[in-house]
Formats: sequence, C-alpha cells, structure tokens
Amino acid sequence: MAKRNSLGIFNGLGGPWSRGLLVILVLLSVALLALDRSQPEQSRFDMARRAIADASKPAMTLLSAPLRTLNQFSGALASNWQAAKKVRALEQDNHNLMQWRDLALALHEKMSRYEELLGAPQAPTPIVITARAITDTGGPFVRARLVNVGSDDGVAEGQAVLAYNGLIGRVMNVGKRASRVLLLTDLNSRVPVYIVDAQAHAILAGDNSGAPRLIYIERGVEIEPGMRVMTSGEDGVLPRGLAVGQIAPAGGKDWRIALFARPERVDFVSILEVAPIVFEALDETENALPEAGEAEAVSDASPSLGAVPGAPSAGGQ
Amino acid sequence: MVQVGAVQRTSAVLWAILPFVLAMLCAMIYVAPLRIGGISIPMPLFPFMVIYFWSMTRPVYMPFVAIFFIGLFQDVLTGGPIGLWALTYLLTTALLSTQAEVIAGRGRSVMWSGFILGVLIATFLVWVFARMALGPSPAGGRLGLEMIVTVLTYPLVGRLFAMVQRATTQASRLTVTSTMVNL
Repeated sequence: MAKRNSLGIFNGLGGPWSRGLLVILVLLSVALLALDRSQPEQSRFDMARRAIADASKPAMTLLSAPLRTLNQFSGALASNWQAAKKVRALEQDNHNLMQWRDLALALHEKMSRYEELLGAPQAPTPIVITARAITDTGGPFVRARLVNVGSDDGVAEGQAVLAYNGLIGRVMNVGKRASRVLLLTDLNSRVPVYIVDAQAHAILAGDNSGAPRLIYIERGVEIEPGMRVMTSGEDGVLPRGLAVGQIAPAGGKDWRIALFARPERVDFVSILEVAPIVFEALDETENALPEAGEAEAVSDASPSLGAVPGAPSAGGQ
Repeated sequence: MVQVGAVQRTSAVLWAILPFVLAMLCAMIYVAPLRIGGISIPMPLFPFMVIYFWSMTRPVYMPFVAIFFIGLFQDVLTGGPIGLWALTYLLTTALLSTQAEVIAGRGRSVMWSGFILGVLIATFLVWVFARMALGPSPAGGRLGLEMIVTVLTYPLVGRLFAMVQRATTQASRLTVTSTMVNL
C-alpha cells in the first residue's frame, strides 16, 4: 500500500513539490487546450501530430492486426448467419445493376461522341492511393482515422477519401508514412454538396453523430427524403460528383444525410490524388455575375469526378 | 559493489517506467479499431485503468508528470483537442488520490468501487471540457457506452495489472539477489 503521512485530505497529492507540479501541469493543460482550439483548422500542434502518427504507425499496424483478424472472423460469422437472405438480396441487386450497367454504357458512348464533336479535352484519370485504416474513429469527441500512407506515397492535405460506395472524408494531416482522415461525421467537417434531384447547393456539416446535417440549403428548394447528394466541388478542394449519400427521413428540424459509406466500418480506403483547384484572380468582365441563362450553363459546365484535374472549367482553375 | 549498485539502479529504473510504458501501449490499444459482426465496439479507456491502478497502489510509479504525458499522447493519437485527456486524467487522479488511503489495500471490490467513482468523475470532467472546447455535440451516448465498457472490463484488467505488479516486484528482488550471488 502507498506510504502516506497524516496531514489531511491532501496527503495523497504528495508533498508541496508534488502539489505545485500538479497545479503547473493543470495550468499547462488548460493553456494547451486553449491554444489548440484558438485555430482548430490549422492547429499549432499539427507538426507534433504528424510526428507521432509517423512514429506510432508500425506499433499501430502491429496492434491492429489481431483485432482485424477478430473483426474479420466475427464479420464472417455474422455474414454467414444470414447467408441465404443475403444471397437473395444480392441476386436482386445484381439483376437491377445489370440494367443500370447497360444504361451507363449507352450513356458513356453517347457522351464520348458529344465530347468528340465539341472537341472537349479528355480528363486525366485521377490516381488512386489505396490505404488501410489503422486506428478507430478516435473516442467520443473526434471522428478521424489514421491511415497507413503519407506524403511518401503521394498523399496531400485535402484529398478526398472514399470507400467503395462513397465519400467518407478528406485528408486532414499528412505525415511521411501515415495520415489522418477527417471523417464527414466529425464536428469540424464542412463539405459543400449538391442535392442532385432538387438541383440545390448546401453544406454538409458533421456533428459527431452518424448522420451529418445539411445546412445553408438554397432557399425555396423542395427537399424530400431519398434524394441523392454528391460533392459540389465548390470548395476547390474536393472534386465534384463524388457520391455522398441520400437525404434521410426527417426526424427533427434539420435535414440529415444517410451516408452511403459508413466511415466507422471501413478498413480499406481509396485516396484520390487530385490537384486542388486554384482559383485565379478574375478580371472585372469575368467577375461580373452571369445572366440567368448563363448561370445554368456555368453550373452544367462544372467538372465531374473524372474531369477535375487539369480540366478547364467555368470556375477557373 | 559498484556493479551491484549499477545493476540495481538500472533494474529499478526499468521497473519504475514499466507502468508508464504500459499506459502508452494501452493508449495505442484504445484507438485500435474493434468491430464485432461489423458493429463498431467502443474500446475501454485502458490508459485510465493503468493510471488508476498505479496511482492507488504505487503512486511513486505514476507521478503527475507521467499522467500528463499519457493524456497528451492519447490526445495526439485520437486527433482530439490537445490537453483534453491530460487535464481530465490529472484532475481525476488528484481527486482520487485524496481518497487513496480508503481505497488502496482493501480488496478488489473496494478498488473496483473506487474505479467506478473515478470513471464517473472522469466522464463528467471530460464532458464539461469537451463542451467548452468543441461546443455542443451529441457524443454523450458514445461516451456513456465507453465508460460502461470501461467499468465492466476493469476487474479483469485490474487483475492482470496486479499480476504484472507482483511479477515486477519479484523480478526486481531476484535481479538484485542473483547479482550479489554472482559477485
């Protein structure tokens, strides 16, 4: 048992030196917390975070290996439990997807012809970096995950991070061998999105819940549950056209999004290596607001997912 | 005799830093992804278990400086606000240390009760600090679940820590004895 003297209820805190040190450390913690939150977008501690992420990557990879095996085993068990039901659902999905594939191929053929006729420049295919998540979402207050690739692999801040079925977040912090991904559900995440069926722009705002909120929705727009939502590319960071999710049934005063990809369940992710869009200064004639008809044309001319890197657009790159 | 002193000192330092190293390792396990049947399971707050156990039984091996760095390491690993867990751990341990004489050395059930009290204090403090730093966020459910998992896991993990502590004490004694015999 710990050796303690009998000077009152503060015995456990040790002698005067120990108590003084405790006060100093508490004040230091408060100062660090205040400093870190004064500029949450560009924290003063990013360098420390990068260094520790790099240093802890081998240990984290080693530690997550047995847990991953357990995850896979339990996942396989759960999957086999409802195998017959799932096979029937997959057969139905496959049947539907075959029809969609034929339609997509026909549209692709048509679009290629139009592009050829218009002499539109061919969009370069974005480079995809495959990564593995080596940490969980980061406790109750943070929705971020560490992945096992960094600047040595071509990762840069702001790049889009996708699961096979949709966007899950963007790269926030890049070390040499590991990077931190800010998930769409995090409190600090803000992504400009486009509600396809309503043809309206909005901002997707995370709040640490599983379904992020839609804020700053264009006025006078009718929104209904089930409408598809994709990135609008208006931030100049994420490319346009990445699938995000669909409008969830209204449960309160906010519209929320049911994400296609559940960020906390994803193990492997794809990072899109695309150059961020640089908005050059526009001269006065270009800066003038477009007419109503032109505005529609500008919106349509925005680059799609494949067309973002290097492709000229109305927004200017 | 000089050699005996050196070995003794090295051995003492190694055993002294073991709880700190264990807590750092536990911080890494805390952020490791765990899913069962595709559902994300909250990890128990392992670093707090290490801090609590050694603060109550051998406070000399878990000084406030070590607690501060464990909290900072956890903050950096989780990607959360720097200082959040450091401040929470420091204040919780300081409050619990005032009751260490009541808690320590009185059996496992008392240790567990003390731990439940510690978890309640830590939950309250981290919730208040997070609200101050991040603003309102619906993280209460996840935090509550995490703390319940932490409380339920402690009896098993605490027993493992007690075994580690016994083993290190015996090993420490054996190292000194065997060195003296060899000389």
